[in-house]
Amino acid sequence: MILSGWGGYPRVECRVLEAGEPDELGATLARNSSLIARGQGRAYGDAALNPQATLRTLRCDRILAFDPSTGRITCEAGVSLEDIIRTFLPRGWFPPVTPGTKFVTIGGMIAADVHGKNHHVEGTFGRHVTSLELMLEDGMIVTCSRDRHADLFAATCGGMGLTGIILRATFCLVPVETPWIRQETLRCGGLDEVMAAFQDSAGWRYCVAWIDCLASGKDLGRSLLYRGEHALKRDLPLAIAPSPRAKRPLTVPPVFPGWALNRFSVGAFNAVYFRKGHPGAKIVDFDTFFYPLDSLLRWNRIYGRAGFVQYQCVLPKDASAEGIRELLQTIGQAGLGSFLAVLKLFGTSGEGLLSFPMEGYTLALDFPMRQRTLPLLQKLDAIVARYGGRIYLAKDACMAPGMLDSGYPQIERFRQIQKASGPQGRFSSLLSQRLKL
Amino acid sequence: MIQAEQPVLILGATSDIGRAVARVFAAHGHPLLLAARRMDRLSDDADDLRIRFGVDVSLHAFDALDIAAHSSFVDALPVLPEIAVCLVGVLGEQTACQSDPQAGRGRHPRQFRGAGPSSR
Repeated sequence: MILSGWGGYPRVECRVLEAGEPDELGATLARNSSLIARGQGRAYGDAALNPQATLRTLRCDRILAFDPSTGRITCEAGVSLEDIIRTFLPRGWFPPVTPGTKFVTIGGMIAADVHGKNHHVEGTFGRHVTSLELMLEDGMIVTCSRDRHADLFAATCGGMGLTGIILRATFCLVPVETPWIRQETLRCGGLDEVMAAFQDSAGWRYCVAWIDCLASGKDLGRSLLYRGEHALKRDLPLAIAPSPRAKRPLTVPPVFPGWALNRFSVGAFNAVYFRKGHPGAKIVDFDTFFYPLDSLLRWNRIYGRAGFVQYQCVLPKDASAEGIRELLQTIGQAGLGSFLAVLKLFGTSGEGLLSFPMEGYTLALDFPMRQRTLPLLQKLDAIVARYGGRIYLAKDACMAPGMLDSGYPQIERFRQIQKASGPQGRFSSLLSQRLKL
Repeated sequence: MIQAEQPVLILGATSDIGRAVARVFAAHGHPLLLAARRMDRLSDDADDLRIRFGVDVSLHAFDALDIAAHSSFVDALPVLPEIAVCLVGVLGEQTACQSDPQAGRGRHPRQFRGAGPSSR
């Protein structure tokens, strides 16, 4: 079957297997010398692709335990975040950390150690995982936590599936009074202004900015900053129903022709988006706040058949003002446009050895896959490396091995743990092969 | 007219379709009796259904091909189900069944021989 990540690049013929019960899974492992687990396929690049064997985990979708007094939940790795929200939000519980899409599996969230708009408060998803069950390459199942097999736990949170197959996990949901978000929007004229706004917003639970990549000169870094809190019952106007009605998602037509997106259309989109954002406060439903793109199912098709790459980097906080400016200038000059550009200030880094976030500013944007794209990415990589930053593995499809080694100082420890728990190196993906991980 | 309190028996509950059908009935509030040859594999499904839908779930060993044991299986059920769904069977690999008559024949007894007697 031809598979790709969410970006549609690269597209590769892969042998696909389905994960079933643990005893069958052990036998599957014994028969395959190279394999990687795959959940909803929302990593953008080549993280969940292995031509020899790609193991889909979506049948492992059972919720195994839930404690309504603490919000503690245990489930199989193939359960989706959408399923968790649909099941538990009506009971007053929400995930402690959510990425920008709810169409991800719990296993994938752990493997990429995902972050959300509340990283400065809650850290990555891995921080909220109390234990997980992992099948090693010899079929043995180990329970990892901060007390048992702590090294394997730290390697698995953010380990991109390369330490084993995550079977089940235990984590805590957080209580919420309503499914609504109290949102404030600030308009920031430039980079210094938006960075100051992030500092001022440290007390808000959720905070993110949309940056207009095509603004230049004194407008460079022009952005809209959104900050939010879970709305309390008393925050809600009487006119609002107790739960937001499920909106029917729109679908993007099969594949947009590649030419539909050029500098002019992207520029127009950015300009409209920027003008549409009204500064001020309002109550919005959680889907609008957390998952604006989920309402456009298969929005990745907008980039046409060649697909796109998503570029997400983080720079140390001290270097961010200068470094982000240089990145934005380089992106603007290249004229390749970006449908989405997101800026966020991370809190301190977590325990995962290959976990992406570090304290500083992260910038995420899309580029349609063209001939000029790779040279641009190499330019951006050089800037990121020069400022001591790193690239997010769950989004990456292009970086060179040296970039991994320079960006992730704990890589050697990860390799040692991986070697000790799986000497045959059975867990392997196109990403790990490309980066010699 | 199907009513939510009517218990539903699912034969072959470990199959993918068995799990899907169980969730649909549970979502409508039906108590469930899950039956399968490998009863040990049903406990996670039972937990999942109880947590998601708050319904009663009981588990029962059932081998569709052990026809002599069918009536004692029915006698041992805690309640007599008002709805029974038979989803026993192994689909196997379509391509293997197409090219190898033995592979194809191996699949049929469970689906056809087992289902008939147990539905009486």
